[in-house]
Amino acid sequence: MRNPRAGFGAIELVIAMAVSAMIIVNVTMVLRTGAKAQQSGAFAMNLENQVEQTMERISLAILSSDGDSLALPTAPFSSDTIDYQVSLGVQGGNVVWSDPERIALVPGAGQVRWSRSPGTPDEQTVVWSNWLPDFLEGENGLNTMDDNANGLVNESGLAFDLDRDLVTIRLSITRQDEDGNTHTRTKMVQVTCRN
Amino acid sequence: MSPYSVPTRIPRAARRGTALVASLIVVMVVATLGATLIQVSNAITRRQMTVIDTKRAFYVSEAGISEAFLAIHQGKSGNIAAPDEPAVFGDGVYWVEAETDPTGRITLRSTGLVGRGRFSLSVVVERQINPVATLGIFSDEDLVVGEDTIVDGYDSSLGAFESQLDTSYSFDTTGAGAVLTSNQDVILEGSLLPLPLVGSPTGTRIFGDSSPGPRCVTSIGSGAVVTGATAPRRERYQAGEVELPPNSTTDTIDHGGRSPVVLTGPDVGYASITIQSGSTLVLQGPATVVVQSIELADGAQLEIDGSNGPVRLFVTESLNFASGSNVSSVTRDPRDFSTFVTSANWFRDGPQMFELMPPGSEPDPVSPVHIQADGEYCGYLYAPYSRVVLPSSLRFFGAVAALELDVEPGARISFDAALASADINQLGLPQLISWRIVDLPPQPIVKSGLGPNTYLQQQGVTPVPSSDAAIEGFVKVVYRDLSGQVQEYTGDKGSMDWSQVTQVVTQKWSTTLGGL
Repeated sequence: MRNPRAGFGAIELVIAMAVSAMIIVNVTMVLRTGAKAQQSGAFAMNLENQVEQTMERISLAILSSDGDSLALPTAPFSSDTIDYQVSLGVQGGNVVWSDPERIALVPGAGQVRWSRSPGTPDEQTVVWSNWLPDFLEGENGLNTMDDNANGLVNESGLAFDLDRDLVTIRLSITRQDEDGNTHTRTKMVQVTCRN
Repeated sequence: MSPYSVPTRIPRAARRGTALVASLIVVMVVATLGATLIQVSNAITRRQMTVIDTKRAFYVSEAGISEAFLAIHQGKSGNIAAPDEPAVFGDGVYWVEAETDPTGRITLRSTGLVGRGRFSLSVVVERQINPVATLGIFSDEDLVVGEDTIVDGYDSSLGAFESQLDTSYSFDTTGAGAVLTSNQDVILEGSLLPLPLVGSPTGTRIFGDSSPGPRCVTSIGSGAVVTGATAPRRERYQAGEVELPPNSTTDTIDHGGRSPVVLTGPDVGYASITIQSGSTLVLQGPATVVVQSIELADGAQLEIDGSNGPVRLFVTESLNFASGSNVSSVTRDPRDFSTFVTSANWFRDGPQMFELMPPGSEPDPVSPVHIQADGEYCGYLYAPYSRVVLPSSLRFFGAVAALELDVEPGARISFDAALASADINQLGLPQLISWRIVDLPPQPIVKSGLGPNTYLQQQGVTPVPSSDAAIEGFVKVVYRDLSGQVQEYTGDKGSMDWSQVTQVVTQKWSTTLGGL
């Protein structure tokens, strides 16, 4: 019979520690992989949401504008700026229009900025999005060709073009995750001005 | 020790250990992490669903606007359902509140709810009526009114002209309501007689407004009086195209018999209609008549019977009511008769040449519209490419629009204000004036965080079908049934058998039976 006061042998201890370490390492790896996958998924989802929300804001602003007053080029040319006014209602039989508003890509800063009364002392500005590239996804920008086969030439990260009363909006957002991998999402929406 | 000895149980004390505890801790940590990840994922999903629901609510809100448009086109108010009993559309619900301002414009506010999404839109619309009728007696070129002409106005929706007279005058007139409009000058020719009093039957009397074109004038000759405003308009009016019905025009009528020829129906078309002396042509509504040329000889008669529905006459080449012919109306309601002349002035020497000629240039243009009849013309006359002369022999009730309009001296014209809101040419949907996104209304269903279907279920409310959601529940409709007969129904809309209707002539909607 074994002596009840006997301890663990060195070999037993080493084996137990090794097995415990393996278990801990595996569990940690599983946890890290899971966390990483979740982070990656969340990152992609956030990027997608950002593109959606930015596009939603731009679309709703243009929906309320007067289509006849938009000065935009037609494809294959585009503009990274749109100036418009939205209807505030009717008073005295006449449509009341808002102060001039502008949505523009600020190159270099990679921002989409909305401004009210641009260029005036009363100008108000809100940044709607960051991380816009200078050129739309797939667009080289250094030639005069339609590199991404979307019908536009050298379009910027935010591009507007007009076809009668249909405004086409293209938007790309590019971000880097923690591992330094670059992710890009691009969205295109066509809206018809309601006024 | 014997190999057959019975094994003994291991003492409890010897079975103590921490492996189970450790593994439980690991499982709990993993479970907690998993629960956290699920929560985060659910939050992201919920946020995305809210974005999707908001977009869907936007489209449901727009669907509400479309439904209200259709309702307004049908003559309803535009109110669709209500916040406490909304209309169902797909997976969502909506309601539309309509408010009419004194100018007749309607503000529609449509709120759509889908899941967690809410959206509210506001549009201002104008009933797509014939805007030209609001211009009254209209000429694109100079409007010339001969001396001793009396022009006033009334509203046939309030009753006959005779019931609206101002008895303070010594002659039959309402004393107000005239509307003369031009894109150029309005010229009221003077009288050579001494200056008469306003109440005198002599001298040109315009009992209302005269509105010349931008930077133009109302020229008031000696003895002429305008009781209303004479300020020029700010904008020119651009006459609209006439939408010609596709009726076939190959047959001809040359009627000289004693019994009247009666034309009725939605698809009546003729190359020419000639009514000889002593004969009568009856246009019986509801009818849409397309004719290339129509001629009433001296002694012929034209009778408009709009008792069962309106009469629309489209003339594509020439309209000639010779001197001595007669025009009359059974109902004497201008809303029951409208004439559209789509042809243009042409050269005297070349009737084949259809060209627009500016007035006063050589050679003189010949108008395809020649009216020298007597009697009463009760209706709307639209000849945007022709010169029209309103004779003094013809008592005119209604409105007229022409390229050039001359009123013979001594004519008598009464503008019917009811034409401004009448569906004369059965034009299309209301005209959109303004569209915008507005704040959500403070209704309990909107503030509730529940989906609208869940909320309504809790309230015990069943949303109404979208096609049946207009608040007007009673209708008075005049229609053609399957056999072509004109029928009329007044009552609850649900009791009306719409499968028997081949053509709606007129319809009127109301929230109460008495409102019809």
